[in-house]
Amino acid sequence: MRDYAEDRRPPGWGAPASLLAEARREGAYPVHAREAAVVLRAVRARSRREHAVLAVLAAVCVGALLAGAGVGAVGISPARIGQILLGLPAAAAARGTDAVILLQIRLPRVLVAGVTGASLAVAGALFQALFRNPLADPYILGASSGASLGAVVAIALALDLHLFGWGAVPLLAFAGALGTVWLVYRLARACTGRPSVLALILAGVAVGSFLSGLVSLIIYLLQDDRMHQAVFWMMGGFSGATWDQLAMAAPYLVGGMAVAIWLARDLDSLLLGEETAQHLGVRVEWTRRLVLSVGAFLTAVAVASGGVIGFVGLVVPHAVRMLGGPNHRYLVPASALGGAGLMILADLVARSLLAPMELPVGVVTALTGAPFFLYLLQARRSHRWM
Amino acid sequence: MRFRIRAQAWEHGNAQAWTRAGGEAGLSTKSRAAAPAVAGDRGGAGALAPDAQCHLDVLGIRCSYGAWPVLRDVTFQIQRGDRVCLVGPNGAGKSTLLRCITQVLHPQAGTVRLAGVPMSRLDPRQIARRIAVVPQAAESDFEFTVYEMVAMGRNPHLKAFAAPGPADLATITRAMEQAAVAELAERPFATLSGGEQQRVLLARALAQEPEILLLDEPTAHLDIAYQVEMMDLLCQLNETLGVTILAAVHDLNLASQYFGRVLLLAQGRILAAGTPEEVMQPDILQQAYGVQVTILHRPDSSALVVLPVGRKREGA
Repeated sequence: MRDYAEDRRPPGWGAPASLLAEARREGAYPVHAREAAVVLRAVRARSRREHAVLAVLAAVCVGALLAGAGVGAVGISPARIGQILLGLPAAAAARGTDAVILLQIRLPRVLVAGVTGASLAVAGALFQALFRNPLADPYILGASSGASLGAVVAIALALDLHLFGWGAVPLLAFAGALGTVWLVYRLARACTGRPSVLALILAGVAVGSFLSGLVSLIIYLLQDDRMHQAVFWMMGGFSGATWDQLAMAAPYLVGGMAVAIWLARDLDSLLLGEETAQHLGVRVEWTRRLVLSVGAFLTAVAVASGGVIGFVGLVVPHAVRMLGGPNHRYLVPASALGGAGLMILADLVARSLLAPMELPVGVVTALTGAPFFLYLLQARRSHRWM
Repeated sequence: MRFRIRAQAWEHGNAQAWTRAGGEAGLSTKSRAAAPAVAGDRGGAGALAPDAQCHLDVLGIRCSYGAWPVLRDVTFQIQRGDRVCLVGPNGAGKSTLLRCITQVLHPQAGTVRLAGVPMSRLDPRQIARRIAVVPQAAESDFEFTVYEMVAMGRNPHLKAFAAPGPADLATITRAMEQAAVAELAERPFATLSGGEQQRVLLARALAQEPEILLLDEPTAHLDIAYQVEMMDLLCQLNETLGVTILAAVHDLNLASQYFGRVLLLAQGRILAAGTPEEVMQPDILQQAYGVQVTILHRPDSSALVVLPVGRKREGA
């Protein structure tokens, strides 16, 4: 066996830290016009598509806002909404009944619904990147069961807590969702050292079904009226939403989206696998932990605001990805817009379909989301994804 | 469509498109620190003579998956500008060794130094600016286009929130051109053939503008024409730009033809290291692979041809 270190080194290599960059500077590597044109076309086609989808989603979102704020027992025209909003400081504009309805009831409700939908959709996009699976959703780590447990406990004990805009139910739901994700992460890490995707999902399934069992047990033991209350909460809804609730939820959405867009390129790389991501300069473990916490907070705040609402977090990022591609710089804001618009519309349907009776929003999203999801699954097969 | 590797291809090409699009901005690309403080770190190394030109220093790597040892004690050095290939039987630990070098796996013992600095002290971003990896294959459920895949090679060079600028675009285009995938820019990566995917992965590594290129079976999915083109491109990068190359290769003939240095990894150790003539000897190869081989000298060049004869037999 020869010692490789004894080999002479090839002569003539200077300090080549950035040789390719130097070569480029000296023009040794010009790019050919034809290839450049093809590549430029690819760049432009994608970004044009992304911008178009974002514009359409923004328009849908604004339309949903106006519809959500305008439709109801008292109809308010978009023009009147504009008047009331623009004349906000002036007492005259805010005096009418419709102004009171808009400012006290409709607007907070619509905005809370929008923030909740956006949070769920962004959380879904993050979890899908984290698990490298386009079918992951915000509840994959058991956050929904944990939140339900918190809410059901609060209802069962008739706890009387208040923190800013949240009562006992949202507070415990928030804590339950966060606590569950934390527990799942710790369990997965305890089992496998460095928590793999699979370990996380398995731990999530196990913890989730355990907590669901607890929830069912508690509900079974509850008195009728409280049982109703618990079941209603779990199906989700935004009745009685307040500005305070919005003030509780919105900062999480803004912060979460900022982090998500900051990490956008790392999330893109993570979609190619952890090893490749590391080769592309991603601090995999650190990024994963950060994304997991942001996703957990977004999910928890959404669940606290609107109860357990399914399918938005799964379908929206997925659909948005099909429309405009998988880049997270686009995907995160697009998911937020799509989630907000969808949730506002779902809430509108929920409260006007059988008015004056209100359906739970979760029922509307599930009834419309599930067929759409099946359609996606089927489309997925033709895309050779599965 | 072929790799553009011939000198005139990139010397007389039409650069006007890019000088207009962003040539000036291209000049402002900050150059990476040229590792001047290399020798100091190894100053007191004693018996191991410090060598400022030693680019990659692998020292006593031991690595096991659970109870199964893969690398027992691997030590070698690669000089700046070397072109080295790593050969060895299946399961010898070639991929594991590459993973240890890039810190994806953390070996139980031993260190890897990049220009004298222990890799464990560098964060992945710093490493990714200097070492690029071409994996055997990549699969993803997500529909990235070829352009987006290659563009990810710029990630370690970009600031947070910043979009790739004209200079990055030029680098990406050039990388795609070198790997002959520019025409595929708009195609979804998942719809490409294995060979095309492999070239896209090469383009991504080139877009990283690395000092060191690590390749895991770079020719596994390529037909013979692209095998030759790939090897010629690697030689070109190595000779004109001084990119240090370490490639895990299965094909011993390719190895002897294109690489100045060969590392033979077997049973978790470097069994032999040196020029192809030194390493590719019947007894050494027989020890590594357990088959008998005949070594022929090609009449048209100095390269060797390794012909497997068969299992080791008595008196054969």
